[in-house]
Amino acid sequence: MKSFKKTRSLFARASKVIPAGIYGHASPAMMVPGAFPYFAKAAEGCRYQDVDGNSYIDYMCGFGPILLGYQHPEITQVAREAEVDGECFNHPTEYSVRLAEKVVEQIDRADWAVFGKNGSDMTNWAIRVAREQTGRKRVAKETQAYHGIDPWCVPGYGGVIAEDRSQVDHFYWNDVSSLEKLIAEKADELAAIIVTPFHHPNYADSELPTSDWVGALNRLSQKHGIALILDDVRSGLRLHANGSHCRYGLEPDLMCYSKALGNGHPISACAGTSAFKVAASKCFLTGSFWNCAVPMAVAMKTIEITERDAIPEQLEERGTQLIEGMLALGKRYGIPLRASGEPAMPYVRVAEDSSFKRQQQLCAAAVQEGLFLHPHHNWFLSAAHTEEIIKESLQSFERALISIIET
Amino acid sequence: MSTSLTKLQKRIKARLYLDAVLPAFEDFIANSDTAKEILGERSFTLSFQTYSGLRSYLHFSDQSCSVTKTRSKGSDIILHFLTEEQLNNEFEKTGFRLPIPLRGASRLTDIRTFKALSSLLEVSLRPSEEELKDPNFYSSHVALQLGVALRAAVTLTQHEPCAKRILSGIPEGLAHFSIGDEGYRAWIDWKGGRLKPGKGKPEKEPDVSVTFKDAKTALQAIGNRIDVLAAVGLQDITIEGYAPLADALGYIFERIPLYISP
Repeated sequence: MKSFKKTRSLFARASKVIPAGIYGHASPAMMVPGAFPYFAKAAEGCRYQDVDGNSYIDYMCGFGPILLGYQHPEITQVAREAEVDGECFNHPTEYSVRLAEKVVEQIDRADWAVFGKNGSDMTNWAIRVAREQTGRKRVAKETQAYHGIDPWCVPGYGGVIAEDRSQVDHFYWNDVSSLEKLIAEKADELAAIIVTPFHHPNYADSELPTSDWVGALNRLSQKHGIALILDDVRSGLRLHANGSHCRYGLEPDLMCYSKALGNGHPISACAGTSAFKVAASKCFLTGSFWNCAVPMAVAMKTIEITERDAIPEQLEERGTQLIEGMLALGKRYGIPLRASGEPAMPYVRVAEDSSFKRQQQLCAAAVQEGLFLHPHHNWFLSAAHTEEIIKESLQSFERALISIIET
Repeated sequence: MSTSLTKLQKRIKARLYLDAVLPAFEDFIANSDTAKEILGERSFTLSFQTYSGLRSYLHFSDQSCSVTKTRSKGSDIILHFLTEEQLNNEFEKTGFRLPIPLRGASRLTDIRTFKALSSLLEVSLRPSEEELKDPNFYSSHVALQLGVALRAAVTLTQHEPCAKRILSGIPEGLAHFSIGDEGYRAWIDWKGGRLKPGKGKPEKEPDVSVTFKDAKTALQAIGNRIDVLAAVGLQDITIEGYAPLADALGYIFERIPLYISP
């Protein structure tokens, strides 16, 4: 039985000096409190240790950033080399130019790029660019889609006023008619449609885009002069080395990246087509640490390795192995499971479990077996999840399944 | 909430007093021997109403009370408030608040009985620290407070734009609330566009179960006086199942103190 003694003690301290103890997506409340680790200590490859010394094969990868594996040797080396000259200066370094060139070379449809630190920096800025370009105010988003922590889209209601969301409209994923209806009513007011490449809401199965959906997004945005913004923050570099839109045939005007781009180093990017470059130049964008050198050097290397080692293809193969193995085990032990999403970012859950209680039991049991699986959020694979690691994971998963049969 | 309420906010507040606080008489009298003794064999109906059309009827008989929105028989006593603000003042004992006794002004014994019951209920809803040290009193206080909170949540989702918006964004489901050491259980069913609250254990398996370590934690959480996320991490509050439903209901509970502090 794993012990969480230090976890509990540290969280008790945290809760006295940090609102919520741990806030945001890492909050214990988002997982299974008491049955999950709260604080990390160290990580390497696809494994990490919590503060109690428990070790896990990690299927969240820092909630996405770890694409190549923790402490990937080439990334570590590049970071060390870059930091020798310093990190934060009065000016950008040469890395910013080289990284922008790399993004333009690598990402389909990209004619320019800018950089920030987090996905929210870029999704918000992209909306401003769309407004500058179109002269319109409104933004359309999928009802449940997550696009960051700014008031127009942040989950929850704390500190949000109705006016923050007064320019936001909603449509439903893969529901062409809901998008057509919205555009029929508000095309002249819509500056942007913002979408993720595929739909990955919490507490629900993921959904891939239908060809009709992709076609409608392209057709309607182009016909009505609405900027199509791709929020590729979560999926970028995992599904396709040239951007996730290449996997599905989307034709975005602006594309936002973060997470995997720096393999754990803080960096985000927005790339766009040439038509939006003048508008982009007019939208003030800055942050004290946004020109830091090391994450930019690392991002260049991450993009290079992703292409060189065909990382998306690797992840798809390993993810498929994981999903097929889990589904077969579920069948064997009489616990029907359902898989959704992309193999590189799968979500496997107990079928016919609308309350997610069995899913929470299963994931808590998996944690006991050294497997970190989120009960309500899509998972992530990294290049460090080798065939052998997947086999080991399936053995742990089998033990977790057996342990919940009796409950 | 600031003292300068909008017309809508005043009306919501009045609805909360009529639809969430007044029904506390039902549980209070059912569980208080003192209240039963005060009521004795008396039988009368008293109504609170406003010029704008809000009203609630309290029917006292057989040593019990029932609160309804509709009149089952002619009210013996009608307390009429010209404005919702005056009705709110009556509950808060502030400002101008004299109701017009449209009927029953001469039923002095019934009015005195109601005032005595009201004072007793108020003590149970707003006790002193000393009174809370009595475990039986504390238990009754918690049950009354949580009852008010459950009804207030329903009222808010019917009439308050923000609460309506919160609720409309989540799938339907049944939430079960319990308090570890008190044995108190209640539920809220969100179905068919409306919230339905109930006491005890729900008949079907809930979609989410929220268990408070103790009554103090429950009252603090519902009164928006503790860091709920930290309490969940510390397992002073446990949430099992479809947490977004509990979150949404939590956001609605947190809005109650914006209007009333029962």
